[in-house]
Amino acid sequence: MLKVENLKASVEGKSILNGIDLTVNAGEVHAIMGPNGSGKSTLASILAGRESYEVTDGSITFLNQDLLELAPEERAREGLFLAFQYPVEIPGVTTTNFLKTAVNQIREHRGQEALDAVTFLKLIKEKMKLVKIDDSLLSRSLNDGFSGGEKKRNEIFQMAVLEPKLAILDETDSGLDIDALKVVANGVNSLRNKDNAVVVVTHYQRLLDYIVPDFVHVLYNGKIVKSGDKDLALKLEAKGYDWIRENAELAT
Amino acid sequence: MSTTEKDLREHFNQKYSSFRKTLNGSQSPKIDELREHAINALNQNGFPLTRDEEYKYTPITRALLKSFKFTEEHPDEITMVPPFGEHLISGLNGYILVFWNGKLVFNSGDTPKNLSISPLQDLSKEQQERLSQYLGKLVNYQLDAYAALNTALLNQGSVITLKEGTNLDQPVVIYHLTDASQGPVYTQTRHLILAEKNAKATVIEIYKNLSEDHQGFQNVASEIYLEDAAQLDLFKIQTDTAGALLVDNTNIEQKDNSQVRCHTITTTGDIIRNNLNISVKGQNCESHMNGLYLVNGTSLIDNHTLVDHRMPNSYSNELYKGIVDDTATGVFNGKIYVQPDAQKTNAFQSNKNILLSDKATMNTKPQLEIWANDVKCSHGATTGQLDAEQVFYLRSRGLDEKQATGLLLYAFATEFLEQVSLPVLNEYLERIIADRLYQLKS
Repeated sequence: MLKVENLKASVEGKSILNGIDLTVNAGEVHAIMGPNGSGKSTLASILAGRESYEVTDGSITFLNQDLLELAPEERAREGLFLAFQYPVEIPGVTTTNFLKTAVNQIREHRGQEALDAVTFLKLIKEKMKLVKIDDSLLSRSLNDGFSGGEKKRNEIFQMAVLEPKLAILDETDSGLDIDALKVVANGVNSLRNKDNAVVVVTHYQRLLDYIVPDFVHVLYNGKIVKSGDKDLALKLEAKGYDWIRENAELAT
Repeated sequence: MSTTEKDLREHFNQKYSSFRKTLNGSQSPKIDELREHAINALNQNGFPLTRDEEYKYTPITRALLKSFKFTEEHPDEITMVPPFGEHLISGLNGYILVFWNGKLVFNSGDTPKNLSISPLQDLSKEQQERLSQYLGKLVNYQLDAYAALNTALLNQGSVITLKEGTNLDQPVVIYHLTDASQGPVYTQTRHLILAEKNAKATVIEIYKNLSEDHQGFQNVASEIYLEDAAQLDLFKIQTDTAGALLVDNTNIEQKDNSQVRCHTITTTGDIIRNNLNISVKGQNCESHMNGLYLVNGTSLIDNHTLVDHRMPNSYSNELYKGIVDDTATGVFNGKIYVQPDAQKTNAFQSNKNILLSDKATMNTKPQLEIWANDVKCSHGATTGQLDAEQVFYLRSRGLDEKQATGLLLYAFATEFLEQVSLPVLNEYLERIIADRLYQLKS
């Protein structure tokens, strides 16, 4: 589904990613872990199409297309979704309001008919239960005055409505208490199936107790320095990132 | 031959002299005296040029000299009632007055007992005498030359009285229509609104420039008195004003417990200048100023507002928002005065602008002058582009750039409508805003 090869990227001339290779197949969950500043969020942002990064080398293929050639909205319509680390506040725009446009854009792209108001509301109601989000939140301005937990739940709610093929969760666990974490994880798990994939970007192992990954990759200095199964995450939790640092420095 | 400010004054002095002859002593000496004071003030101070601080960014006098061919001014007799019907907002019912080139051509009449609407020019000498305690007391003809001009030529207009305890079932709707299809026209009207104790009403003023064949120049002034606990919603709708030169002077005086909500929306016009002055002379008053301007091309829209808190315990809140595109210019000057006696005043002001082009200009100046020591006042002004992060967020959900920016601009602009409670007007303005944003490039 997703193939990242030798991806190098920089921001304002500063090199952040130094050759990433990553393959994600349908039905898989990948976790990308790493210390602060290792490039985790940069990778997520580049996948979603944020323009402030410059890709200097390498390629990304998503569903047999050159992802880097696609505008952010084209990526979304192809089925890529980024749950933001810091969801933006947009006064005056409600979740329901913009999500209807988003859903119908994606449906149009897939050659499906636009949803009418009633069907759309039914869809919304159904997905609301998944992340235990209520009406009042959706009719308020997007993320405006939302708590940290509400913002993250709203991201997963949008994911549920848009039904992406590849979801990238960028530090969705940060700022969540354990109850909210479970709600978010349950939401993600119930959306998993053999045709879609999830990439979880996180600093801590905690979320991975609930969203169990098939693969864990450790990012350090803009490179994946270690890959393994879910035990790698536990090992990292026990030994800390210093263990990775030492190993990485030994290797160079 | 180039014209100068002196020529312009000369022209209006002639107009004044011939106008006075037609009155032939039929009017109250007090009103006549007021006119005389006003023309003297105009002659003394002259029309404002851009070296005048209050008109620094607004070259309306220069525009008049350049494009208003006053020597060719069309005679202002109206021999038959023009077809004004198509210019009314459909569904907007109320007590309707239509001024066509400054002449009252329609008065729906049939007002309930607690409301009286009288054409200013039809008042008897005695009525004029009685109203002279109000006329010219709020409009400051010493400070603003256009207010002076309006006062010197004071004739057509309306006197609207809301009797004590009135709760008006329908709004009063005043249309200011300028038709310059036959030649350049100067049009002016003058309005006096007296809201007695506990009266409650909505007044909607609609400004239209019907033709761009020649230059239309519209100069409207009003004086509004709110007695104890009176409540007024006042609308100024300047959305069909393409090509217009327009000056509006609105002056409001508030007594104890009164509330005023002013809503000003402008989307078109060559140069439009709104002066909104509120004098808070009572306690526990509320004054709300809600403004929106969406301009492109070479339009210039200038909102000057003043809230003068003279008594304690009152509250004022101002929010003006603007979207400026192409080479258009926006001007905002918001004065808040808190006089020594006005302790416990709460006064807030905010001006937010989005520039859609590199060549669009916004001049914003909050001006707070506070002489009391126990007050809460705040002000803020922002001018910038759309937030790139917000645009990216929406695009990452599948909206294209145009949809994303359109949605964000719409959300920005329609905050104005949150305070517009009359459904038919809310819908009308919502449509105008949507159409307008569609025209502004994304």
